[in-house]
Amino acid sequence: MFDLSATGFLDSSGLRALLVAERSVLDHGGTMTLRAPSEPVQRLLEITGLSEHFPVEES
Amino acid sequence: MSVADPRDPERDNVVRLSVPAALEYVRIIRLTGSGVASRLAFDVEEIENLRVAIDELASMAIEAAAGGPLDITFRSAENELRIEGCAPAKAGADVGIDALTGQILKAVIDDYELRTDSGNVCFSCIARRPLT
Repeated sequence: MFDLSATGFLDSSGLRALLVAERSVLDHGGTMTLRAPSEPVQRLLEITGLSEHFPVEES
Repeated sequence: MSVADPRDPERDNVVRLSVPAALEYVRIIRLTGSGVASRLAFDVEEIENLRVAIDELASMAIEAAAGGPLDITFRSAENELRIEGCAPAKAGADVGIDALTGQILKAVIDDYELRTDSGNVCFSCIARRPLT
């Protein structure tokens, strides 16, 4: 799980880092969840279509 | 930040910022853009969109820059904010915009450009608001 509760701003570099991390997690048989993304982060996930890709757990 | 050029006929609506072309200064550019947009009565969502656009474009310009200053101009008009930034480019700098970044920029800003020009790497973007 990636706790994003303290992440107030995310850009495309951050999204790429999440995708790379997810690939690593999947390669090890795990699943990745994002926890408590802030509104700006959630919005960027929606813009890029990744909000449906990453399961989100609210705080 | 500096005082606008007195020969510039639009000097009353121009803010200039010069920062080292390094990623740690992108936050200062975002903050300046937010402040200028706030003065133009952009709402919270419009300012957040602008912050995202500035972050993406300035970061790409810095990645292609050879160091030196990144000079940014924030030019405001009645219903738009136009931002332009230039820094000396690395030799052979490639300034393509990848699909993910392009998708983000199309969603958050009205117009944008990233280019090399006479040895510089430059970005520009325009955020418009409806006339009231």
